Amino acid sequence: MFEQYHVGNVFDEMFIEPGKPRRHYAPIVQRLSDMDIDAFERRRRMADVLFRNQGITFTVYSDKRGVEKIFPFDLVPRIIPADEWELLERGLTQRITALNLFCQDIYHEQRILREKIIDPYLIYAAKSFRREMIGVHVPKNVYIHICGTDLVRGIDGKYYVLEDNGRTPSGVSYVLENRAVMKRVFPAVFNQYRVRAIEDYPYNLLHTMRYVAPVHAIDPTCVILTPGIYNSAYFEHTFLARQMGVDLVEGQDLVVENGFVYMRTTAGLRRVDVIYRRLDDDFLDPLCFREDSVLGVAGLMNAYRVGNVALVNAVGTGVADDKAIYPFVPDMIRFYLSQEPILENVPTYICAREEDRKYVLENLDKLVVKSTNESGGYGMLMGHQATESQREEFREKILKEPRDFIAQPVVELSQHPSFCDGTNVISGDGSRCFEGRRVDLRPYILYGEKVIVMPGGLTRVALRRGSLVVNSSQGGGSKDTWVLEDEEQS
Amino acid sequence: MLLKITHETELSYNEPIVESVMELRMFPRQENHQHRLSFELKLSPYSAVNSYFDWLGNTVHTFTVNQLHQSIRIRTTSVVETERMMLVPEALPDTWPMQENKLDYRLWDFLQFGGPVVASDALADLSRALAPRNGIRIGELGQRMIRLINMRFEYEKGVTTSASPVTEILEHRKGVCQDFTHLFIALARYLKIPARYVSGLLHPDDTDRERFRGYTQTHAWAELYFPSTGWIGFDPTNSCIAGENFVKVAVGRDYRDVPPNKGLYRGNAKETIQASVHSEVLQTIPSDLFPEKIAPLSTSASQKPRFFLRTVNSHNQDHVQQQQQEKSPLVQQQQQQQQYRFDL
Repeated sequence: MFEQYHVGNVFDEMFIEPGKPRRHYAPIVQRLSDMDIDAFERRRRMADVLFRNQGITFTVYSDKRGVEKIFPFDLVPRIIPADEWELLERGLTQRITALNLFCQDIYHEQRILREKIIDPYLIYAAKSFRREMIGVHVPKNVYIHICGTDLVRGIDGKYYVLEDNGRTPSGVSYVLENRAVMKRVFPAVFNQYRVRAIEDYPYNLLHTMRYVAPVHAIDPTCVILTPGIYNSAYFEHTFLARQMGVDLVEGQDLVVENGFVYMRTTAGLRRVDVIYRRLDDDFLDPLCFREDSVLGVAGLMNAYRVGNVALVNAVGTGVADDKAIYPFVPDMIRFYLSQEPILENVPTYICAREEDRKYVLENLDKLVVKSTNESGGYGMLMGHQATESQREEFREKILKEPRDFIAQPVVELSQHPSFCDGTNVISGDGSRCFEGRRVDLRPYILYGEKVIVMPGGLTRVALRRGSLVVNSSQGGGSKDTWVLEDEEQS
Repeated sequence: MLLKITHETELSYNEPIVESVMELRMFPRQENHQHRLSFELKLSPYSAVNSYFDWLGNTVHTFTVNQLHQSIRIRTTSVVETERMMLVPEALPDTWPMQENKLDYRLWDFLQFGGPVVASDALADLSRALAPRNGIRIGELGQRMIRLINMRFEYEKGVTTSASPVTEILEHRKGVCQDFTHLFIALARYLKIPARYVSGLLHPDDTDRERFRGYTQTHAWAELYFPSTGWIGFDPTNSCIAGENFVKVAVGRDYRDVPPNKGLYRGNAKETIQASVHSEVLQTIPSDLFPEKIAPLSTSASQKPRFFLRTVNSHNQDHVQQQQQEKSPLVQQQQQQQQYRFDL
């Protein structure tokens, strides 16, 4: 099946050179090579049916048809050997620790600003900087309880951090579902490997939530606050609520009384101690933030301020994952932890800085420009693929609001073989085959009593040939990610 | 000056409502020239009150009324001792233009246009009229600003609303204290001088009743930042420096940070707000002082407000479902803002 596989000149996760797989991929390459393409196709269809029957879908807002799509699933798993993972785990733990200390600092002493490590202007001009959180004590000083950090691999095979998602990272339900489907579709292959289990994630998440509960709550009541059924990640909210055995609530189900938050139940009001909110800060409390929000709970911030309810993640964490602050994370690690960063950042130009801006404007055709206020692959310019008029449009935008943009060199993401159904492939005969598609990796990190990095994460695939954008809203798919127990047993 | 201030607010609804959530910024600030001796907050219907410091250092009282109710009455009584400011702003050594990079970075907030304080070309014309030259003292510039605003703009009620941006007063050349203050702030920020909004109360000066429009008011004025001294209040409405008859309650970037009361409720009822303020000069410190007392407001003991500052009917707002698709049905819920505007 891999005879015609084209490795190309980027880092390939599976093959060192054509026909020569990396050691940890050898068993699966063997297994797939023994299989004929129709058998593989049958399993793929089986996986699709499983996903659809379970209702594992997402919504693309910009798509006017408003349909629920299944998240395209690519059957070939991504495999990460134990030693690589050990490095990632240490790097991610270090990073989330520093980010939490940063949030704590920014909303209290602001040492990092006073000592001029970060230009205060960048923080104060950030839309995600919540002045309402200044001086507010958050339970156990944890701001980012759940972080989804996007990692990519460059041509040299080294891992780089592309961005941190410290607000409400989504996608973890796909990781768990992908694994469940994978186990059913390829049980034999799965058993050939010693893959680290990820099924304890909901348990760990619940534990993290209970850890930050107010002291007066002996047996804390935890809930998930969802914006509602039209949200693109609604499936995930229901999934996590079911897995953890907690209630799924909407804003109108909660009410604030005397500084406490209560949930309306059939047996009357019941106090809520911890809220895992899947709602942006802006919509959380119409009294404190956007007045026109009907998704939130009026007065929630008042209960939060006095410590009667914990919010997961805390309010105001957006300041840590702001794209214009991202270039400073290595500095944060040095500043707060006195350590050298284990994981590197992608080099980033901050358009708010004059010399950087000059460079960016001169090299728009070589850079990726990202808006600091957008996520999900929106508001991006891929300089080398864009047309002259698109570049011109971004040039004007950057000159108008420099604070809102950053630029990075194009990272040639690593590729991983994906099953392609014959359309859009290099080998022109239109047959189904495996081809390299670019991938990234989003591991999920929990910060509670201790830091727990979920072994694995969401590997997203850019299903269009040559595309470097893996976001699900931009036509990306996903893979199961296997982290191996240790070297010898793989 | 020893002042006793009573501030009454009544919010009434034409139908019963539930789940009122309120925030009050009515607690006079403790400042260099202002000592808060007593504060009493009375509420009806009575509800537990929590308080917190917001990021600007204002004390905010919050409460919720979840049962059915058709009105909320709030009465605060404060005893405040104010001192005459002995320094003369024009004599302070601070000069224009300010060296922005030497200022505390936290003043950044008070240098930005935002909300009602919008940048406008008309500010350039106004600033030319000020004829600032390098080296002019900030105090002198501030005095010129209040004179200029007083000369070119007229005090008139009903022209602007509480949500009016600076562009409206610039266009009509008429407004109330809130507009004058926003305009003053916009002008200062245009000249890159940190400026902030102060909400408070103004006790009429007995010797000059004409000048301060006769009776006690909720009032708004502005403060400029002097690196040598700190914040100093300028009142563009009355063309003076904030003196001992000014009681400072809350400060902010603009009106949005300091409304005396702000709230939301559930229901379709229409809201009517009546507010009144009364102040008197005390000769001796009374014996019944409370650092912070919260109590129910008994209906019988309540007195009719002496006069109405203003009656505002807020309108039903149509809400757009945020974060959701346009097709989604609206949740049957009305949340309206309770606020009234400064009147002077």
